[in-house]
Amino acid sequence: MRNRRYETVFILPADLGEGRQQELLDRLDGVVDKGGGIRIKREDWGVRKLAYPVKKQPKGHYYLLDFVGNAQIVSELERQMRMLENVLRFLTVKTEDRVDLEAAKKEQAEERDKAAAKEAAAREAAAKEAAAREAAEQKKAAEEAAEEEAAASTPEPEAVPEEDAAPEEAVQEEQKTEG
Amino acid sequence: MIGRREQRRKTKRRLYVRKKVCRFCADATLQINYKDPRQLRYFITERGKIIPRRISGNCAKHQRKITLAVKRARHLALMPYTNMEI
Repeated sequence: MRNRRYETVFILPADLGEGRQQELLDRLDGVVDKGGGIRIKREDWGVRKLAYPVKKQPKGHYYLLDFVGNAQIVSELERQMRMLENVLRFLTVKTEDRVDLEAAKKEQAEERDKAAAKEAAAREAAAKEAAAREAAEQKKAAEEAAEEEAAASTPEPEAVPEEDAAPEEAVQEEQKTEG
Repeated sequence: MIGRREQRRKTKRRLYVRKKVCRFCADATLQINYKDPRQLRYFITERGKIIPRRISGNCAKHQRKITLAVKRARHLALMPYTNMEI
């Protein structure tokens, strides 16, 4: 059967749990894979306000699935989406009538690399942030311990520890802005 | 008498008619896309009705594309079918 390029936009409820959402996405991906299609990319448009309520929902999470496949995949995909109650709306549009399978595979690989790079960058940023937060906490803890120690060893009037505390706070703030 | 009056009205009306150019023909880089409701909003009224090409000045080819795009956007709740609040 002839392969064409399609894009399917579908809307999931905004309040659906992340696990349920992933389950649905995997299931729809599976339909394309099983039919021998090539999934080029999936766009996540995020949660948007609907122009009018659908199934009493004021907001929806939009997704776009870009794939190459035959008509059977499309009908199976639409059948599944009709059955699933959590799909508020869907629309499949043919974007290309003639596709070069090799080019499609190449594009798929490119998109995958792009997505992986993006994910890696996000993960790195998150790790960096976590490390910075941890370092700040450790420093804070150390300072607190030092303060306590100082307070214990020199039970003097409050003027001395207060002077100590001021520069320490400044250091902490500097670190925060860096992170 | 009546004929002359009609003729006058016609000529008077023609004075105000200005030939509009289809913006999509004038600028080939403009794409009509159902996924971009902000662009399509220009072609619907406040109530959400599609503006006729007699007013928008689109050519027939691009008006058809606009209509299709608006209808697709409506189905996906990106645009309203009606807007009764206004």
